[in-house]
Amino acid sequence: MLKETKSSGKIKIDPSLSNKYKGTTLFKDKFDWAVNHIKDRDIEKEIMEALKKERITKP
Amino acid sequence: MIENKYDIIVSEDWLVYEFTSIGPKGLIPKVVIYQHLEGKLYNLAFGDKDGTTGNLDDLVISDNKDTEIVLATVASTIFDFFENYHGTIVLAKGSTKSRTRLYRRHLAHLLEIIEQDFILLGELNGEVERFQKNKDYTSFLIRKA
Repeated sequence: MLKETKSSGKIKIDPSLSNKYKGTTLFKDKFDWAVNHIKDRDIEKEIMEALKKERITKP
Repeated sequence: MIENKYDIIVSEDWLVYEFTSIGPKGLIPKVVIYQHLEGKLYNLAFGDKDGTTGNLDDLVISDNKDTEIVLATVASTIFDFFENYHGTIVLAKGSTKSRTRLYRRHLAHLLEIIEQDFILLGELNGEVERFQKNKDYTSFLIRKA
């Protein structure tokens, strides 16, 4: 199926792609890094605080 | 809209994207995947697919002289991902320091387009801040504006 998206124009949906990599962790090193990187952190809160700080310090 | 990019195929769940780099080294299949971490957080991973074995590699330097088009194509998947996963946050980082710097330069280049729809943040020394050009961030966070 060909879909027109707002962002990137035409993109083709391939139903077989969902199952192609099912059950495997792709780019495992990167994934493990990401899991470890966010561990015990509240990223959403950190983003909110960064945006709040930007509003306060922006001239 | 990002104009100069490769055609993409995407999985039905909008988490896996594939496209083909075209250059002097031939046709190199690329894979972009959004991996769920926890809650609203997803990790963006991207690399080459070995045409023979099908193995994925995010460390290989394919040198197909089309870095800008490849990174623009990856950036375009961010738009598609967020169209389908509202309220999420994407974490991104290069597989090496030099690659993270390369991504930072291209994000800076695309900043105007990206910031029309998204909030881009950089992480430096464990601190998250609104993305600024010329700062050597170690990772990036993206969410819908």
